[in-house]
Amino acid sequence: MNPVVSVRMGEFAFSSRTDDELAVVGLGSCIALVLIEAVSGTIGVAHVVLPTTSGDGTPPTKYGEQAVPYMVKELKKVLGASVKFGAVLIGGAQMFQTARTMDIGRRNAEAVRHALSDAQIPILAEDTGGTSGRTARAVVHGSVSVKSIGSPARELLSLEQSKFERAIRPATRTPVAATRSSLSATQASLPMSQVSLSATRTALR
Amino acid sequence: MSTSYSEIQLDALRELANIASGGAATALSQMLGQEVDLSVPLAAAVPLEAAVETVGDPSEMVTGVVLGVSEGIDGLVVLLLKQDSATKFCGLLGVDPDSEVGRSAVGEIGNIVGTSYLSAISSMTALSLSPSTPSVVCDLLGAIVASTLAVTAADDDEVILVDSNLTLIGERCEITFLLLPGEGGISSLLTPLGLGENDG
Repeated sequence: MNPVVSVRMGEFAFSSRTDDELAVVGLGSCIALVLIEAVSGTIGVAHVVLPTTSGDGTPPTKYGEQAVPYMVKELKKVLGASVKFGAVLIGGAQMFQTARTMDIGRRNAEAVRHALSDAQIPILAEDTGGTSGRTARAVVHGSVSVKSIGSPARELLSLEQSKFERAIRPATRTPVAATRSSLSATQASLPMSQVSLSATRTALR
Repeated sequence: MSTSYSEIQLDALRELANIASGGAATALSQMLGQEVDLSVPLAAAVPLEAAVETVGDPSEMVTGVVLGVSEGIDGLVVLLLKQDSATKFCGLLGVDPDSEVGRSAVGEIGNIVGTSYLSAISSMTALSLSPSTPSVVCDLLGAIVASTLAVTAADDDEVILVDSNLTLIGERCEITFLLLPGEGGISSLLTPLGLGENDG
């Protein structure tokens, strides 16, 4: 059994090992931002909570505007500079009708879309808005899928190599360096969560 | 702007929650004509990413009643009922849990209980706390809790969870209360108790 990594509020995880699963369980106004690298099929998932920050923005993956450049930078560190990404957005619902919680979901989705457009990353699939919670799952070389209450799980994007390459054709097909090709499920996150991450982190080194 | 709270401050919040949920328990007991038991509340400073799991299983279906708090402090009061508890409450009130009436009955329970909770805090802190109209949602615990934390935690990496439970004696019927203070909310609550300073 491959591990299922649950990506919690503000966290970021990635993997390129076939069948590894990255999941965000119980998304309301938050966004699961999935970046898929075209050649290796590496998946990075961030659990975005807010559109942007006026402060120092830690962890960057908590904020839509900061998450995209941070994820690209971190993934390029392990995959090399000449890689091409596609994105999937899931979440951004408006759960409550109170003034206080209004609109965060929509603003989260807008911030992420804007940051993706700045980074010239195409959105390959999206399931955002509405008033229901969602659970997002991304399986390396498998698929990205979403499930809402009262409806069956739905595949948003197939990541099987042949189908996926048609959806996003990389400009240059640089193979991933052999030493880097077997990343394990790894989480880069805030210092407070290191206890749960230390086991998976060492696999990267 | 991560802040750490002293054990004395957390104790004070626990005591605040204890008295507040005592007030809520009385209101619930009067409404239903049943005895209500009160657990010892939790007050803890938790890293944001661990907060949802501290409250419960993110994939569990729950009914959430969310009350905004305005004036005195900035924050939200969130009541969570597991599905069987919501059904049981509706049964005690004689309404169909799957109907619009059932949902508004659960909202009304939330409203009454949440308002008593806040008025108990008001009388202890001399802050005037008025709740907004409740919003009732039936969804994944993770979606409900994370969406409310997104509003109250804002830029903080650490959230203060004040969590207490009411149980109907003899029934497996439980309400979880979360008090989620927004920016500056904790110090507004602690200052009237003489514990406003972070290093106090």
